[in-house]
Amino acid sequence: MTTYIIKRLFLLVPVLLGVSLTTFLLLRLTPGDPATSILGVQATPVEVARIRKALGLDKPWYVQYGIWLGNIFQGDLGVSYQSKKPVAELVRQRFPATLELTVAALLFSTLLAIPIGILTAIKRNTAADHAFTSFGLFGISMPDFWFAILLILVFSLYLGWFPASGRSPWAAGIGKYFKHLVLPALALGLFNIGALMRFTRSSMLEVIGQDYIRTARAKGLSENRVVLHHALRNALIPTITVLGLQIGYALGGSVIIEQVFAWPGIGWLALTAINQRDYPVVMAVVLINALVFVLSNLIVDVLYTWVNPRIRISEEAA
Amino acid sequence: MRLVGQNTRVFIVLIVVALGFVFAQEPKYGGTLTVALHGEIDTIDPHQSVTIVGNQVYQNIVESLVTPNANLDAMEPELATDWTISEDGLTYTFNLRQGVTFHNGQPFTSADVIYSYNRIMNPDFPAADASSFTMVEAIEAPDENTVVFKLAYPFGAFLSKLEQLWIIPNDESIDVEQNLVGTGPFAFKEWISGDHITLERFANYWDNGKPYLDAVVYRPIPEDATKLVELQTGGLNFISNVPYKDVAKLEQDTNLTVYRTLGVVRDHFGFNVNKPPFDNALVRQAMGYLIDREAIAEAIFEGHAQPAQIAIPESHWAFNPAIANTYTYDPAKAKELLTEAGYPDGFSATIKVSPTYPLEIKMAELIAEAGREIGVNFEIIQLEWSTWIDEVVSKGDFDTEIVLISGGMDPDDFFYQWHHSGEVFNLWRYSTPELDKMLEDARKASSQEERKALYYQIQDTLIKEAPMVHIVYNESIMASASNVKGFVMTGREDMTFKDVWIDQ
Repeated sequence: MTTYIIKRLFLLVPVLLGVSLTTFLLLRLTPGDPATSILGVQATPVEVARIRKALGLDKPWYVQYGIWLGNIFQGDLGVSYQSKKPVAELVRQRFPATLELTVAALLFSTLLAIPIGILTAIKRNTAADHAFTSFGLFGISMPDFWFAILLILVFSLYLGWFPASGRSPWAAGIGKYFKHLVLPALALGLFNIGALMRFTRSSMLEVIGQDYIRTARAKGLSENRVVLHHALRNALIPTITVLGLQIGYALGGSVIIEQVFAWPGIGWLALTAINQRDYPVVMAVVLINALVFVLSNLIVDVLYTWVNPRIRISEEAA
Repeated sequence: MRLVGQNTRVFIVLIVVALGFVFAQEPKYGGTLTVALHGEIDTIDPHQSVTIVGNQVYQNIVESLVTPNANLDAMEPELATDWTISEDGLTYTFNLRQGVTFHNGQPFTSADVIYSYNRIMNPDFPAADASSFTMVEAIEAPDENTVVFKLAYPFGAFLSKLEQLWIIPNDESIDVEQNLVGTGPFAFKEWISGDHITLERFANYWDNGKPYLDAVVYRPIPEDATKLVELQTGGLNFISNVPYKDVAKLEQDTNLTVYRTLGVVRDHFGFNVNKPPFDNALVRQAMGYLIDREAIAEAIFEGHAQPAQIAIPESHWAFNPAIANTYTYDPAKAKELLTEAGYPDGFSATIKVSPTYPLEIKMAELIAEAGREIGVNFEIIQLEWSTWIDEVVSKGDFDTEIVLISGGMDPDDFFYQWHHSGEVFNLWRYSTPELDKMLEDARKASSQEERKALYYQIQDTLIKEAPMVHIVYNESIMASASNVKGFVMTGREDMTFKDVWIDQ
């Protein structure tokens, strides 16, 4: 197992190199110039050329990439073209906010989706099943920014239960902290609830139809034991795979959700940086998201073996 | 010729001022103003920032020698108390305000003015406004309280350009990009990216007793709906960029105050004069008659806009009344002009717009619809903002474009950088030696009468040659909680809070 994990960690290197190179090239291929963004539209060509030289943007792209890579290996993420703040500082300030939001959204969606998925599978074709399945479809199909604004109008404007935007630091009190977290986490989690719930339902249905479940029932085990012990454990395996992918969706969705709720995370930072052609910031955020995604999927893979001991990771195949 | 709407506004202002005397309230001290910014600022450094939001923040921290009045038609003393201009218009001598200190306790002297000027003009420094001072030949400080600017040629708009010379202390050790120090009413405290920027009351501010607020906190909130709910629920007490569709709703809310001015924010429809059919002035004029300005003001701005003929507002001293109402909505006339130009069956062209300016996309749709009536087939192309800049401004790769322009005080601001040959902002690439000469003469002429006559001619030329035709002047709209008092709106998007107080 340890060897497997170490091998997977080594695989991170080519993955991150590939992601960074692709992002780097995409940024260079996108029209628009960081120098114009820094100096303003009224800048003269001479000023633009001067800034491009100062930022090293006049060098061939592979040289620029080489310099960037060299700095990364020394732990230097560079300095934001716009705010002139070190990128590492921006990431340190903003990554925790995204992490909190993503974890809260996933926790909340998992805690809701898996029980509902089980329930709808057991109570198949009942009114409850139809109601929840429709809700799941709603969750998947609703644009998240629309749902986010709906939440703000209902829970902030009309009911006044939660603030409409921003993040409150831990220091200002746990209650206040959670109040700020609720709406963005709900909005971000909505898509996940829908997807995860429907997935749990279908894999439960598949498992419930299996012979060993019939055998378990025939042994006279209580229905609760059959469902929770025998069926759920097997049904969860595909669900966990989906959960790994959901982390990717949540990181992507946070770009929009953070902007709507003015949540100071790296998704919104990336969006602003892309609009301003702030290359060092975009590179750092993409790299970190890739890292989080790969690591969380590694954790999911390890979880597999824990949920289902029949699966053993083959050390050779890794 | 003045706009009815503006007269009404002046009248309302007079009533408000009169009521102010009747119910004169003493400003109260204390409280925090929590302000929404339209987006994250680019940088806090006033010499580098190029965004409106950046300016909205640093203008409360740093000051200039002179500052425009609320009507934006004259410059008033700020860090200079008074000044003299030599007969030949080449020497400007400023007497500096005494007893002013920076937030770090350092006293303000002429050395700080020179230091700030040199920082902007340093060729290795990415200054946003270095081009504002190309006419300055030398700057001198005969003593601690006097600064003298020597110009290479007379420059009528010099005072208004001086606003860009934001004064920072003469101290290399201050990291202006991270920790801005100025003489303004509020001192910079912290900037947490994506979260907030906090300014604190500067107790030693030179304008005695001011400011009244303990602190100003800025929060970047890009989403309009979120910003409005935060204002209505008390999470914020000041916002700018109120969407036009929400103005009526906010005005009905007795807990809120809405601020509206018709300023220098304007939309135009511009043409690439190097590309047929827009190389023909008759075609460009025809486009001027295709725009239903009243319908646009009603349908797109809910009435919060006024038809425009030229960049400069009709209330400005340099506005040429002869051009008022030149272009009206008249498709028959447009058709006639196209026939005369040799395009009796119309033509096809593109309009480049950007989703950063969504209202302009709607304008393009209305213009395209009017075009179809006379055989002109417009295809609307939406480009992401940086791409729009790249294609339209940098490369000149477009047929026509519609975009919003803001800013301007002196007539030079409205014309020179937009229409002189070789200027980056001359998007439409229209250039003739005659127009260039008029623009140069107008900026060098020293008397206002002389300048006025030249600007009248320039406006005549621009209306006739029509490298771009104007659509509407936009109202700027801000709102606050009703207990926020003392805010004065200018025609720009300024948010200065030195007179603001909270009635609590």
